[in-house]
Amino acid sequence: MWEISAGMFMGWSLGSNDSANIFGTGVGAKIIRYRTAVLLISFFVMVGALLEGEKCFGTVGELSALDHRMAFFTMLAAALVVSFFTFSGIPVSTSQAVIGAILGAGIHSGATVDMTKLYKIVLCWVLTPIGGTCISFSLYHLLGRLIDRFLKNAVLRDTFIRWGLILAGCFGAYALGSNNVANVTGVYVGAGVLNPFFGALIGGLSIALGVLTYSRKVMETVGKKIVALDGYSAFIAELSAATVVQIFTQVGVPVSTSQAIVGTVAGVGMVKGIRSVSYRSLIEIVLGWISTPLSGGILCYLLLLLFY
Amino acid sequence: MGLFKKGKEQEVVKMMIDLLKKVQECIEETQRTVTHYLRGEIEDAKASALMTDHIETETDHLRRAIVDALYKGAFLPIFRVEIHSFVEKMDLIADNAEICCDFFLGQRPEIPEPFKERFLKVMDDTIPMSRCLKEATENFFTKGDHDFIKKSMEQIGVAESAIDDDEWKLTRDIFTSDLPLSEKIHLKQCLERLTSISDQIEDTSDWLEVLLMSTKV
Repeated sequence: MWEISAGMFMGWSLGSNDSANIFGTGVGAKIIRYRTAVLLISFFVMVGALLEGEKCFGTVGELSALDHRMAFFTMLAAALVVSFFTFSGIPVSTSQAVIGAILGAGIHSGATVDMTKLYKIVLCWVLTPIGGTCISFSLYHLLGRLIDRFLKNAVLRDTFIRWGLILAGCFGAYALGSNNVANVTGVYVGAGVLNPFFGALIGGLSIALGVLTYSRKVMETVGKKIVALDGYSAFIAELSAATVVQIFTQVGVPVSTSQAIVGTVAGVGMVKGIRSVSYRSLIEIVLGWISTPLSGGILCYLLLLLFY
Repeated sequence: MGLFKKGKEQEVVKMMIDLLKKVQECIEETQRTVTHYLRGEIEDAKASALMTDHIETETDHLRRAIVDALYKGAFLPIFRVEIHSFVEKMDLIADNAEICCDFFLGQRPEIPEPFKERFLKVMDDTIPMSRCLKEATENFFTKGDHDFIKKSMEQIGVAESAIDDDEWKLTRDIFTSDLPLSEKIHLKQCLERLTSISDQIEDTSDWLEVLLMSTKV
């Protein structure tokens, strides 16, 4: 069972970083207290992981056949890549790091990689920000018309958007748990170290632990960046990001919540005719599709070469 | 575990309405001050000016309390900043009213008899403007009837234009009169003090339009 320690480290790191995508806006704007936010995220991450986490285990666990020790080195490589990129201030996707590391392990062991699954995964990565943009663009218009028609009172409207932000945040946490738990324990479920239930439970707990213990700084930093959006736009961006991640949970592919939110913020910007996302963010996403799995793959290959 | 600090928005709206009432009272008291002064009832004018000063102090307290509540989390951030600017502008109306009273009682301008009624008219025409602003703002925060608010803002704009027109004509008549130049300049300053109140009401009404626009998706 010691092999799951690397996965738990990954889960802790994921929780501490990705919670900012969920309630960064709310905490930065003092809509919700930090303590309440992390408790809500932890709870809904656990619910998402336990109810729907199994849906993505298949994709991660069955991409390549790994034994117990290989699973450990795969997760260690992915966790080290994520930590290094985060420490260097470069946005990183845990999903892409894990998939890259699995491919590295597959190449090392000479095992065949299920290319159909791989194509599906890459397609979903590309579709995450694009889908986010389309959903937020449409939702902005649709919900906006209803609000303009039925919520004219300034106080009522403000209250609706506040509650909307909170509920969208809870939905986002649920989607994070259901989609990203496979990044934490999917490899172990595939290698037979854990059964799907314990995979979801331990994965969810690791993410929740990261949220509860080490998310404050990132949440406050990200919160201040996104607060530049008006309340309604932030609500639409959050809701759309949660929706797109949840859609990919149904497809069974873990995707990047950070890239989903960049896509949804871009969609809101398109409605208003402004460039809400810098070219740098877009370039970082495209480079991330290549550099993150590549780094994970190379590091995993080297670790297995040295220690396996 | 409270998700939100209880009813902060309602608390701010209540204080905003109180502030509007105080601003309205302040302008009405200023009107009394000017009326007493022009009738030569200096002691009554002093009492009214003192009352204006008290009301203005109360508006300052309310403004601080509103700003405090806003930055403790009432309303969403961008809207919060806009409401803050609006409250500052409302408070400036009361400030201008107080300065106007100070001008009359501190500098005691000599208003010639033919101009007295016209000076009073400027002040009288300012009262409906502030009433209009109060009703529009109350409606914005409680009912959100956009048509009513827009109509009220239009009325304020029309009234302010009329006051500007009166000011221009009165200025012309002052400077074409036989009064010494120093008195002409003093009267002009006095007139500017009076019209500064209506100017500020219009400025605040313009900001209400910004609030109205910002709530639209």
